[in-house]
Amino acid sequence: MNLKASKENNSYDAIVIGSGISGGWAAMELCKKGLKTLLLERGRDVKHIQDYPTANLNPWDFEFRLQNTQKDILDSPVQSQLFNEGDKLFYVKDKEHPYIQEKPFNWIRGYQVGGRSLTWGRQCYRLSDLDFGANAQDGNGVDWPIRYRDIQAWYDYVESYIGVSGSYERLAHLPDGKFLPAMELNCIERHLAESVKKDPESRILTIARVANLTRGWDGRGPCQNRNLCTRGCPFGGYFSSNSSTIPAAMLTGNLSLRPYSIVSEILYDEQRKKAKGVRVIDAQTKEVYDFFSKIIFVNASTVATASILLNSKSNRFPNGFGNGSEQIGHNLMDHHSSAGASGVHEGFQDKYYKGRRPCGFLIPRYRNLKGQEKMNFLRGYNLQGHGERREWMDTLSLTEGFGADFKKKLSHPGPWTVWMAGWGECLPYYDNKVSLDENKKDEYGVPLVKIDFSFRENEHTMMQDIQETSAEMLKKSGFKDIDVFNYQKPGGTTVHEMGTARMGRSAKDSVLNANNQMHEVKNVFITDGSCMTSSACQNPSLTYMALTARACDFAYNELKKGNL
Amino acid sequence: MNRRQAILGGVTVFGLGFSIFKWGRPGKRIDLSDLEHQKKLIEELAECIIPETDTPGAKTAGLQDFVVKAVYNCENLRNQRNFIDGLQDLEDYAINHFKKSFIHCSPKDKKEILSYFDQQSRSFNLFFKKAKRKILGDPFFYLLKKYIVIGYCTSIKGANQGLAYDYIPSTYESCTNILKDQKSWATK
Repeated sequence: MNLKASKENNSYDAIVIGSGISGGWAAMELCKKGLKTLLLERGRDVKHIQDYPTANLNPWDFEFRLQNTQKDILDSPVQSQLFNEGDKLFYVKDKEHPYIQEKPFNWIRGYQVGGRSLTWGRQCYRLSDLDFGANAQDGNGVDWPIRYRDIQAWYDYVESYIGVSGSYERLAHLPDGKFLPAMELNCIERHLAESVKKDPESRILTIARVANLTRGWDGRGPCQNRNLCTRGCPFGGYFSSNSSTIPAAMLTGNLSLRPYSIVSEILYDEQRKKAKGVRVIDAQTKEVYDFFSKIIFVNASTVATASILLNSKSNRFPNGFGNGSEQIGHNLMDHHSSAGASGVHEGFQDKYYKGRRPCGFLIPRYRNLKGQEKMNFLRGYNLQGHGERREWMDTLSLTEGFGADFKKKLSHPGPWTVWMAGWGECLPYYDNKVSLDENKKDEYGVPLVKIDFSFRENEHTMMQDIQETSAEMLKKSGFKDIDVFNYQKPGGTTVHEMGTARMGRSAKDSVLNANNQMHEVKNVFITDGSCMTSSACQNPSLTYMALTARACDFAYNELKKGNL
Repeated sequence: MNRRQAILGGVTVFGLGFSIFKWGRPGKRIDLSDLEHQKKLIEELAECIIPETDTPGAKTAGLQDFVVKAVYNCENLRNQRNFIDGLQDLEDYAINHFKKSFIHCSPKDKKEILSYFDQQSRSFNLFFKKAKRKILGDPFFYLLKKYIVIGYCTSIKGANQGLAYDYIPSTYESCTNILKDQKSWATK
């Protein structure tokens, strides 16, 4: 083994693997508690503001005016479905980072400091006991080892730190949080909200809760309503590891950040029955280093975390690190967001808006709630959408002809439209899984990841209900030309993959306990999406952050007590 | 059944009033120079599609360079071929009907020529289902219009004068009154 005797310090109190939204939080919390922390990131460094080269560019500054080229599509058939010329610098090239799709699965990745916290959708919704109790209720997966009361204060803590704008709605199944002033619904959205409110099932339409700052917060923001978030925000208008947690961790003097560090495995100490450190391949030199620490936080993101654990083999754990339950890599989930409806409204011709609000609206879950009649599917969905007037990119294929009349139509606002789709819960299926192909390796000699995932009957039945109810709401609100759609996108497209190292009550059927601590290796904690026992239907990043802060607190106390 | 009929699933294409045979002609990558030679023609076509009115037209916005670059880099081979063949067809049509190259035709003749190709592209979309359009690629006039519109609306002059460009909005005003001759926003 080309193990290099390193000049670098190779011993720390804590190691955090991955610098995305949860890894950034782990690094900050541990550093603030005084632990010397090594933050490992497999990609390049991205410094807040100075490494956002496209952030201030105008459309005409881009060679292809934000269109993807054939080369983009060839090099990145998966990532190019999400990126454009303005933000592709924060996505990997699929060609350089291959994986095996046993069934179609879009594995969206951003290998850089900050990970996908640079390009995330910024939606922040709390889970409730409807969600934490769901598995126990209907017998899918295993029971969550926690309930809302266990995480409530940590949601408060995280929201207060990152800054979440939102509106208080007093819903039991979508708890309110600590909100900055809400962003505003526009005319057509208010109109739809009025109509939705009349529904007998007391549905509501509210503004999205987003980590975009409606006023200055923690030295950042406010949001300038440019809606160019995914290029990185020079105003710090939204939360990312780069703009917030990593600089805060840096400020403590306890952080060592090491980019270009691919963790190939976690090292197990057979005598002490603990993890002793991690093995790192330098992405630039391909040299191998070992780093050691008292505790390890794994925040590499759901698919990557599972693959690191599966690749970490020892006498004690021949099937993967802490994998006595045989659950690692299994129960992969992603929300579906393919089904919905859109429509055109003829009213409000004299109204418009100014500015580009970086979010839409939310119609919180209204199916299978407590006391409601049961549907022909389990769990539920929320609707997310937005209202706007048709502009040139929408009318391009709709407007016929050419010449002065065509130009006039093109350059003036068209009718109001609303588009909305259901973000739906996906059940945990054991055979939806991530595994390794031991025969195929990447350029670093690490086995390639295989992903075998599909949505099943419950999800498809739910999609039909989404189509029916969203079309119905639009119709009742006076919309015409209603288009009911199902894009049939494969798993991964919502970029909410989770569940591959689930929390549970027993080492027999789960990987982590109620504190995100590995049942079988007490000094390893996993707080990215892989810890999720069920998916609920809420955008999950806020929950990852809250679980991370909570687990850091637990880990620090255990360390102090000498239990780790 | 010949190969083309096989592609079309045996659909009889007589009587449509236009030839679809050139669409979907599979081919090798076109030469960039073939496109660059057509810049003058593209510039003229662009001005016919987005003419100068009370705001700048396509010619002033200067988007032929972008159209050439985008068709060459952003379209697949089939669409590139449809585009370049379409330009040639258009030129042939001008010469056959008006005995002049398109750029030398009168405004009225130009309009007539574009109407013909616009109609052709619409019939194509009407006649063929989505799946077949995928095999045959997009019709010439659709591609031409697409890149002229993108080019115009994302140009400095088009975005700022033809439309309304708000570089840093700062605030979001959720419900404003439409102003007289209110332009639509250039970006979302």
